[in-house]
Amino acid sequence: MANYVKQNPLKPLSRGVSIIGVGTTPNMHLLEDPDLKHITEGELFGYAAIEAMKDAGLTAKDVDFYIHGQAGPHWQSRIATPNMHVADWFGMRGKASVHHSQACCTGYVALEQAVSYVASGAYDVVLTGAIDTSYSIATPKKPSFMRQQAGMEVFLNDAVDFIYNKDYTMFQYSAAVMCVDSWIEEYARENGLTAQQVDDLLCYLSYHSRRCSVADPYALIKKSYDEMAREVGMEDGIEFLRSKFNPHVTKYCRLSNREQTCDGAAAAIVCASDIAHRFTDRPVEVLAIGHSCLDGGIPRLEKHATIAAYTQVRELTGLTGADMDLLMVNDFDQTSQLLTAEATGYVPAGEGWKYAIEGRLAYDGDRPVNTNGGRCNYGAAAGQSGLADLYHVVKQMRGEQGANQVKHPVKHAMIRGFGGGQNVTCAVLKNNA
Amino acid sequence: MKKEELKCIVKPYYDGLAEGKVLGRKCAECGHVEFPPHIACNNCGHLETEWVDLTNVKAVATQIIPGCAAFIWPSAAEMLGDFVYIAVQIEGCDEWSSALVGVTNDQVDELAKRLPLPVKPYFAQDDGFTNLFWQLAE
Repeated sequence: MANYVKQNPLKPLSRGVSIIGVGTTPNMHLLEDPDLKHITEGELFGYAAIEAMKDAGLTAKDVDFYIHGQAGPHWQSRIATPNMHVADWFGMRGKASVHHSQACCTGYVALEQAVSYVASGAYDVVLTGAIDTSYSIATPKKPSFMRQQAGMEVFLNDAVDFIYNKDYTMFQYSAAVMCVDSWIEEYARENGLTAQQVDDLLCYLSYHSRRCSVADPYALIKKSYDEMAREVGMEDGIEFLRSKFNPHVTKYCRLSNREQTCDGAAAAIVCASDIAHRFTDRPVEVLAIGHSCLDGGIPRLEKHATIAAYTQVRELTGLTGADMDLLMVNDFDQTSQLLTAEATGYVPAGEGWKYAIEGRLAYDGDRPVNTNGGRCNYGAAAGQSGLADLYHVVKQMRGEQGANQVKHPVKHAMIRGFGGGQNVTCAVLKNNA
Repeated sequence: MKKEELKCIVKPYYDGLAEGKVLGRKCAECGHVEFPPHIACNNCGHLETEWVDLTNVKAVATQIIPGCAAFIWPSAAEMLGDFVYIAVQIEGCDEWSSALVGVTNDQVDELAKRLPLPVKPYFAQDDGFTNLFWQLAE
């Protein structure tokens, strides 16, 4: 197999960096909510930022710099400088800021950006936030409270057109399906799995991930597959998931294995570890963030880049996936949960599919993955996803998650970001409470 | 860099397709071939590559995936008829995602048993330019 990634080793941060506060909105379909269908990007971002600041025990005066992330400010909000459009909404007028966009990896890169700013020594306290209104987009030349639903036409003609390179027969003719199915196809072939076994593992992944989102207060989807089964006269959720009500959309993935687009915002406060205890007695230290980018045209790019980013953090920290107590994976294709868990050593190689079927990757399993339900159930507010996952990890580490709290202490966690045609990150966090 | 040192890469690639040629860029240092073509070498990092004609160089499909209606670009079906997705690898180059024309989903499982599959270029007229896909060589 060709080696597509020539990665240099990751260096230690110049100074320790910790997460001291987190905030998020629920994942929603804004246009379908009579109370919130007119809420704007500035307001959403502002509420997430304010919650993060309150959670950290500080005010906007204490924050030196803020970072704004959004997957598609052009096609969603029709703005080119989104950090300025939210600037006045959470008390930071005049402070320095920057916008970045890596599509679905935006919220994961958001953490890396903030950590880099603090580790450089230039700033002590940085707010990093991300918002996406992928479902409820702006109307041209109208105030931002006048939203409209983003249909498939917008996705294909605007979102995809902006994200993917149009040169060299890229997205339109191959990359989309290759991104979805190429890694799981190789996994099935290498492990001798039949099509039925692959279908089983993906149906069980859907079933248990939905149990996670049903238990999560901020998740988009709250109806269990058992409940959906009963509505159509079936015995249980697995039967429903294997039925015509859950058709295949690719060779391997069914509808339940695909992301659910929605709207939401999330934010975090990152500061120098040596001053973190001024604000909180439960900081979460960022040990390392690996990062690899591969063009959307490269087959199995998610696998290659995940291994590259994971190798960076493993070599720097000496920690492996087996040392992690929780794994979060950006899974707009649900196969990513299983495949990343194996690629990072979180579960034994060749055994992950059994873990999935046995429910061991659920919040009440011994190797929990995506305990908020992941993108297919918690929801995919595109660029916000990474910071929503970070919010969830911090709550799990504090033991504050509630009904979907994992059953063991979370000392170390790994967050694997993916998206942007295509960035892949791998962050290792340590609970220093 | 001076203006006279700036050379287009993408346009000559598409000009080549219009003439029935598949072009790549060969690294002057390690011999790796960039397909599709880029300015520098992604194998060794060397900053200079040169045009090379790949039209008749051996190419294989290393992975094959069925098509699916949800992801098929309308113009693709119209232009290509039956096709499935492949990872294609030209000798000396890295793999690249593309489409294998003239194959149906029903044939994929059988063809997968015969990987790597020899393939050859298939040129198709796209909307205002010639595009490159692949067809079975045998």
